[in-house]
Amino acid sequence: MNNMTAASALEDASGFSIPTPMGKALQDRLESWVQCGHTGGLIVGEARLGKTRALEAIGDKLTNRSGQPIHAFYTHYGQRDVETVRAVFAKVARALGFAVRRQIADALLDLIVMRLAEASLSNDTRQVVLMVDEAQLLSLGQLGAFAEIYNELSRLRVNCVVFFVANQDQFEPLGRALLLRENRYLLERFFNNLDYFFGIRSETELAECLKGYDQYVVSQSTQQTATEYFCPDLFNQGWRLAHLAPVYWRRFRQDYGIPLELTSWGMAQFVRATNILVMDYLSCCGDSRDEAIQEACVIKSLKASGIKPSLVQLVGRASQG
Amino acid sequence: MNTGLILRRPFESEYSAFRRFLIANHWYRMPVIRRALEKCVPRYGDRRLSSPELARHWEAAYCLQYCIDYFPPVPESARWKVLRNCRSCARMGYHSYLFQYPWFRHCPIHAEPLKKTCSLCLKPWPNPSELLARECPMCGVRFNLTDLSKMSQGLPSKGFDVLKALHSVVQRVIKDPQVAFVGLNNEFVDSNTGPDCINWLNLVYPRPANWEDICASIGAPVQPISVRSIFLNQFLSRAWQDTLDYKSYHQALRASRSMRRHTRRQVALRIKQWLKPSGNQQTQSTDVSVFEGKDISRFCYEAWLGIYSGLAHKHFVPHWRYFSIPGFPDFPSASVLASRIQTSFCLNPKATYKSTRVDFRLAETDAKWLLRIQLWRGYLALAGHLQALSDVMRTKSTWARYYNLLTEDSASPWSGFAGFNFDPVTPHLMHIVVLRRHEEITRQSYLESLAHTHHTEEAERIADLFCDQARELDEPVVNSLNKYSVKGLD
Repeated sequence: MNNMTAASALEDASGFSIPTPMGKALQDRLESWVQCGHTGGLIVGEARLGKTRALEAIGDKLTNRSGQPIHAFYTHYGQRDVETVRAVFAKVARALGFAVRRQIADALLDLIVMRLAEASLSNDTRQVVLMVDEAQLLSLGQLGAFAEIYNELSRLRVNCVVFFVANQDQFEPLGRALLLRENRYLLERFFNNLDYFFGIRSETELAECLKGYDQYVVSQSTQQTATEYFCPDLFNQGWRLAHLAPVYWRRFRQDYGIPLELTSWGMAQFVRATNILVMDYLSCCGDSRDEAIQEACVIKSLKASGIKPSLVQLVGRASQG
Repeated sequence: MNTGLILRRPFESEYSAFRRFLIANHWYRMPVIRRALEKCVPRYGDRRLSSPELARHWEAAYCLQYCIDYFPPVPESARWKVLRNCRSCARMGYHSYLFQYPWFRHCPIHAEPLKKTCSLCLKPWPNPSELLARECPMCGVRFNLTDLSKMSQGLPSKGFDVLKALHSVVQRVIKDPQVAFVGLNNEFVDSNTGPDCINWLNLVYPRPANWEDICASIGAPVQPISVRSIFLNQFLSRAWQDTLDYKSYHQALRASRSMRRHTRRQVALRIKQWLKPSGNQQTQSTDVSVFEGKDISRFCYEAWLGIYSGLAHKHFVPHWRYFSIPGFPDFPSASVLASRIQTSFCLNPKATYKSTRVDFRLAETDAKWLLRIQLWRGYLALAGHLQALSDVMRTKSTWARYYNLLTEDSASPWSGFAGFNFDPVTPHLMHIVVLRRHEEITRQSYLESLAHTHHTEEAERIADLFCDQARELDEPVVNSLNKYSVKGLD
């Protein structure tokens, strides 16, 4: 961030991350599963809600009951022409930092198991977490690869916990298949626990997210936060972005949430709208007491963030259902 | 790169650490491993680190990253060129630095002999550069996950308790200010250098003043004299095993007398051989009375007395001060020595001498040998002590009791020897025997020993009683358990 302009710091989606109550809730849930001795779990949520970023933010923050760190490794999967077990092992091995060339599946499995087993030594409970994103793209056979990793680690007296994160809209076929009797070995291991991940669902959560902007440092040299840097006049008057939460939430619900029947506000859309709000509109405001112009800024930034899908205008809402 | 930490065990050597590293990465060729390690590990000056060193640095960095405790393995030293290992430990991917000490003949964990060759492929244990190419399932590094799972569970924790105790003793010896250490090339080894003290070859107790000067004056490497260490090793181990039985202790003592006599004769012959005239200097032994039937410590003292009196000769006046060791038992002036030696020193128990005077003229080479004798004496003491400790702990489930008694003293186990006694262990042995005989064992130590030995039986007995009482008296569970607990402790 040192060589980055303040605007880039906000716009760079790959590096931008703020603490959110949803992420904290996810962390608490995963930690409770880990501490209760569960061997797996499924997190489902709609697309672009911020599941991946929330998982990455969890990183190594999971702990056992003694407060010792439990290391979590993140990997994701993608659609392949040929769905093989080796592809899963190769993907996981790459995520764990290994150079994958032409190793056979057994060699990759050995590498993966060794790495996970070594990471489990950081706690007395010998636990390690593997988080698999985009799990809806995995086939049943490929899920068996994770069962094999789990089994091998069990023989090394390592308690592996595998969390799968899936897109709710696409997971249904795999979910139905998992309920079949012959797939119970997978269901029992990894899919006994289910939790839903949502975006912003209340004004309180929105205020928490906006507070993240108020604390997000965009200029390392001067240690200025996003609000201070882009809205200096308002900031100097004691105004903070979190104060905008009531009107921000009201406008979102009124203009987009209710008409589009959105169950929550995805973080991707929220970040896009708020970046526009902070960088383009509120920076022009000079009076913190002028609520009308602030609401106008909110309306404009929400509109510019593209919450309403433009494709609907072309093909109509019927095609969605 | 993996680190092989899953196979890490206490008191492992650097060889063992590198081997487990290779076990965890045996799918790669050595150049690939080295390249990867060099990427991960920063350079330290211009020196090119060896692969085991690189692996150690990488493991340290990995542990730091993943919040894992890092225990640096004991670095290799020159005398590790010939590895000694036990076959069971080798199969488990383990090698302890303690195995390299010459006084260990058997693995404290498995009680198997420490050998220099693999019993499967009959080749010497591979050195680090040969490890990756070795295909042997016992001494190589090519293990699959099934093997790894066995290896990670294969070593009993009790064995490591023994190793821990031995490690503790060794460390205490090393840190004892009364002990001087000599390296391979007569260099003085600083005892404060921690694990590097593995370089020492022998020790001298008590540490003489100007020890560095003595070492420097000798020049030639000190080598242990091949006196059989059967005396201390076997006698002590047998005695220790029978510590709790006073009768057996005496039997062991009696049984050891023949050995001691045998050993004494060998030592005497060896000393005589050393004291043979060299060059123009003639040894004139005119009268030495027969020494027999006394205890070994007295014999040692007498032998030393004679040797010292020889040293007191004018040929060795410059060296005299080196052997005026403070604390050495009753070390008199040269004239007093000369008078004492007339009746108390014997080189050959079978010989009969009728003259009344002994005059030793020692050449300079003999003085070197004398120093070697002293070194060997210290070596014997440590060898016997540790071997006995090892045997006792391996065979006795109540070893912790003995060990606690040993470690109660603040000084090292043989710091307190006094008088003519060269045997450092016997006083402790007697102490334990007396303690046991007069039942002067404290309540606390008794309870501790109970916890170590009868833990399971006690628990089962409590459980049985609990059921019976609950049935017969129909009392609440907690009450019956509490009642028993009080009764049991009383």
